[in-house]
Amino acid sequence: MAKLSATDSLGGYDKEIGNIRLREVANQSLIAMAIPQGKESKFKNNIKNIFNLKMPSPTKSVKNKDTRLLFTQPDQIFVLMKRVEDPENSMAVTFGESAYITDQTDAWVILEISGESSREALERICQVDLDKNVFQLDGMARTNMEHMSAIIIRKADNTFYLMSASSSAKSFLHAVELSAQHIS
Amino acid sequence: MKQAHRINGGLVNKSKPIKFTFNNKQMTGYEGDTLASALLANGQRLVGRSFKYHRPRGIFSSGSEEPNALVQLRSGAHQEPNTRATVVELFDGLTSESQNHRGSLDFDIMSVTDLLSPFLGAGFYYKTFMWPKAFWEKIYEPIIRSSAGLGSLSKLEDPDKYDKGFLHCDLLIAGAGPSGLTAALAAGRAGARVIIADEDFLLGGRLLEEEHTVSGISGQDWVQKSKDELDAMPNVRILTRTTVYGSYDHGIYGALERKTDHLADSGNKPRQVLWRIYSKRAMICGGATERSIAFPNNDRPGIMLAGSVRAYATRYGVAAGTNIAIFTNNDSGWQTAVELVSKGINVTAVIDPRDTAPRAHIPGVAMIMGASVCDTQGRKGLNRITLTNGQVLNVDCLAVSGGWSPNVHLTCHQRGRPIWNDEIAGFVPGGNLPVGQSIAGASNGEMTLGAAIKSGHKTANAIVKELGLSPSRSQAPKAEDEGFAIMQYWHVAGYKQRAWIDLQNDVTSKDVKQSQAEGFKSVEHLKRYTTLGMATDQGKTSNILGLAVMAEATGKTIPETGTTIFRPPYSPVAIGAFGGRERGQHFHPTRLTPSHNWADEQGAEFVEVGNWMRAQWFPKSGDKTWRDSVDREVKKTRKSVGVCDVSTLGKIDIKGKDAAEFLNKIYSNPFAKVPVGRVRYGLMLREDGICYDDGTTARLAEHHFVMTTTTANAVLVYRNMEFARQCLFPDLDVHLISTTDQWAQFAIAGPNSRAVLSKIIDKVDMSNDGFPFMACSDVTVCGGTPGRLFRISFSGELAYEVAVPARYGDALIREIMAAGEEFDITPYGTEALGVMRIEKGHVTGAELNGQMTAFNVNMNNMVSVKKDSIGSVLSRREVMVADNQVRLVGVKTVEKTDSLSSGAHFLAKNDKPTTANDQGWITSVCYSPHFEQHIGLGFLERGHERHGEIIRAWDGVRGTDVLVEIVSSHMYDPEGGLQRG
Repeated sequence: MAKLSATDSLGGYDKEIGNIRLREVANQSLIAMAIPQGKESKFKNNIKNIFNLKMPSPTKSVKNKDTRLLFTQPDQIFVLMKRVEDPENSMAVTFGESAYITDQTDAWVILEISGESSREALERICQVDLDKNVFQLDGMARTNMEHMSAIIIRKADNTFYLMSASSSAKSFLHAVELSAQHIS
Repeated sequence: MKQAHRINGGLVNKSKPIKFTFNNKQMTGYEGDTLASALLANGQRLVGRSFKYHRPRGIFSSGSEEPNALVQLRSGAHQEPNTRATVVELFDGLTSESQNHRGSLDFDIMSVTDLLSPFLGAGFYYKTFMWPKAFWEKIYEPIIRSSAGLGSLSKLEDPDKYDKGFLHCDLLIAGAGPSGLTAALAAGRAGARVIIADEDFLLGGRLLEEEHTVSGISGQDWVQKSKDELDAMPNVRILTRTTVYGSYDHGIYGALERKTDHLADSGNKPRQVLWRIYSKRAMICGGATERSIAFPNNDRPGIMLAGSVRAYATRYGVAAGTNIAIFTNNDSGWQTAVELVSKGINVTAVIDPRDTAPRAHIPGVAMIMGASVCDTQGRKGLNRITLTNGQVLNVDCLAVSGGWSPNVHLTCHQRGRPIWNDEIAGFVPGGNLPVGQSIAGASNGEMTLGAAIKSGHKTANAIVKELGLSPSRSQAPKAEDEGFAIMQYWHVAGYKQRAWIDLQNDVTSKDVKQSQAEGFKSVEHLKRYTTLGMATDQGKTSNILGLAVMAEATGKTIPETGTTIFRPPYSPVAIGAFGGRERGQHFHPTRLTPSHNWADEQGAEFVEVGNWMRAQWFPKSGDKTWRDSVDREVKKTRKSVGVCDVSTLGKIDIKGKDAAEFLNKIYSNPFAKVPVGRVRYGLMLREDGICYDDGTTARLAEHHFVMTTTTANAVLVYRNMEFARQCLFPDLDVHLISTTDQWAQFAIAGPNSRAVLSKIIDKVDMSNDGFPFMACSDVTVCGGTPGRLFRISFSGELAYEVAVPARYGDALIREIMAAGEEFDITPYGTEALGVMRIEKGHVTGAELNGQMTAFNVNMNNMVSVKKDSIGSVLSRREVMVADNQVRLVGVKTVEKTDSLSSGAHFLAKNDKPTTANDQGWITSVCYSPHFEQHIGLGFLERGHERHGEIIRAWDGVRGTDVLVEIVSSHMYDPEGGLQRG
């Protein structure tokens, strides 16, 4: 049997629309980490020791060169990191009993939108206030766009990560693409 | 046609002429014109016919309050009826047509209805068209609609695009007149994030339409200077062509921005965007709307609002008439006269019912005090007016001012009630404004320019402080307080002729009085009975007049009479704008399975299952009908092997030390002791004991379970479990996360499924002992890709489900098909899946329909009495386990050629089809290629005891009545030997 080849949700989409660039980010692993009862301190210590990061807050992600941590609910974070094969098992080994780990890499699609008009496009679908002074660098929010659950992260000045369910990736892309077309 | 009525001045760009048509007549206007100003400039007085009596009508106002000048814009699929010419920005190539006439605008044969007006008073059709009853929908209503309609729809799909969006600000200012602009400057200078919106395409409000001085410069120059300053502020966003149409909870406002309506071609961009504006504070600076006076025959073309006549002259450089008279009960009418005269327009007289000295000295103008207009002449355009003192004046334009009504709408959308202010003879906002909302300027009853500017400045600075910012040190601009004294004078009484109150709905003062006389005493009833205040203008010029006349008729005061409830939208919003971009296939998001592209390549027919697109069947050449495809897929699967994408089933990862205990509470059957490496079928009950979902849950590790739910209930089950985790059992160490989209999962079923999978799965003993029925395991597939394997069966065959991360799903289905080629593997869709599950007797949503208990579906032994689980106690209520309850059964037609239908009712052989004789119903049916006849599942009273009985399946809807044999629901391989083998 031939080894299975991976197909990204949007086939590596990358397009410029006006002064907006929209691309699929497919080289990342996304891992959900839940905190076992009574292991909160240990979990935090491991986050510090393994990623050299503090815990993220509900509105702000934390990051280093390769890893970004997102607060998703009071006892759960998402780890967004460079793509590894079978991250669930590799992280389970690293974290031991201090975390319940579930691979979410394939459950989500990540779109990066960048360019001067990215905010203008996003205001057509995103109800979060993305003003530079309000939604600051590394800010994150769980929200919805065009009836699809989404996470938005401000990655750089005018650059945002948009995360949504992989099964509706094409609809999600359509929503963002259309917004860019409508304002360009 | 020359622009005979164009005069010097105005804000239009006379170096940019614009060509347009009205009723196919070529005309020219200028950039900056509205359609209405251009029509007036071209001397077009008659622009439409009235709603009910088909009376000739002309342009009445200069803004969104326009009741008369409704036109049909553009053509073909872009045709838009009922558009107010007063708010249509002129563009090159604009085509417009008048509406509501049969024949030409000049010779409308329906104008005969005007002669019948004595019989067509308020509510005439409620009283007249009573019988015969059947005539209403088929005859009366179509006739009434065709004769009293407005414009017509193209009846083609709307080709325009619409969009929606979200905006945020510290302060939203609705209205960019003097108070709004002043407020924006004050808040913007203080650093607040400001959105200032105005329905007009220019900022400035009344300063564009009247001659004023602000801080030593002309009002128009001050507007430009203010705009320049606001444009330079990064914290201020100016939205012109944007109507704030509604005030909603929590500081949220609805606004419609007309993006490309003023262009000949939208450039494939949305024509309108519906904004949801989230504001910390809002200021309503909506100004005021002038109203008329009800006097006999006050509806002729040429009779207009005085402020609008002034606006056409000052802003657009258009004289609305060559001989103008002004009829006013307040001082603003006099200002209109002064301004018109200053522009060289001939004003014949100012007629004022007040018995005072003239309010201004205007050389060459007759100033007639203590008199009113009591009649007018001129069928298609005013040519003469008669006064109560007997004077007759030859005029072609009568400018009427009955006072100004503050635009309080946005202050009332959350049930706020305005209060009456005698000084200005108008309603002003009451004290109960929506949270976070303030009001300034004329919409707050501050009718003079000086007062409006001061209140805009002061209110904005107060808001700035509330926002935690420091107001700038700038002073409010300076402007004078012009006179606004008014006498409350609503109608000229004592004459027989009709006096119109609501021009758009042809409601006269007589109609209002008649309504009151017939018992419709509430102002809300008046509105419904007469239609006063309805349609595109929402009574902006007529409501106060109507209720003033009603108050007089009832002997009440105006405040006692009150107003109708104000509701959004403030002015019309196209339904397309509310729909936005969610049209056609983008009405909702679509979810695709990992094998979607592959299935599409195979020519699969897809079906929507919730948001999912699932392959329904896979047609092959030679298949004549869908049944051929489905029968083939079933037969080949049962004979050899088939594969089906089951990724749509909900998957929930359950981890934690207490995961088993948690599941034991969620499922009605025991789960605490499921061994690692095993799968168990589970049943979930609602708290009231009704079954709501079923599925299998696999224990992959001591503290790790993977649950599958039905496709339809994936979200519901997850939500209920999260509720249970957080609220019912917070002490349990258990965590949930949906992994539905994470895994591509395929069911491989049939006698050769093991052989196919043995080629796919790495290093697993696939023998019956090595991997028995209901086993599960983490595995790798195709040489190392991580996956999961479950030995479960929905078809009743030897079957497995294999899962890999979704990105490998496309590759895996292709590998499975390649591996199965030697076994003549078939893909199968949801129809074959359904056939096989009915043959096997598995329940789905058709059976677990929100009414059935475990007892009904013969799974009462799955509700454990040895433990507590959600719904278990209530499921044992006496009535729910009574002997006469319906029970799940299988059915087969007695005659093999008969068909069955879902929803057919069970009746005894000789019983009549009555509710009393109803014994149950059929829930699912299919043609079974295995049994070569129609079979089904259903619920029958005491069904479990009646196997072998012959009864009827009667379907009154489809007209069928067939004999069926009641059998066990487990029709195919009832012993389960195949799936265990």
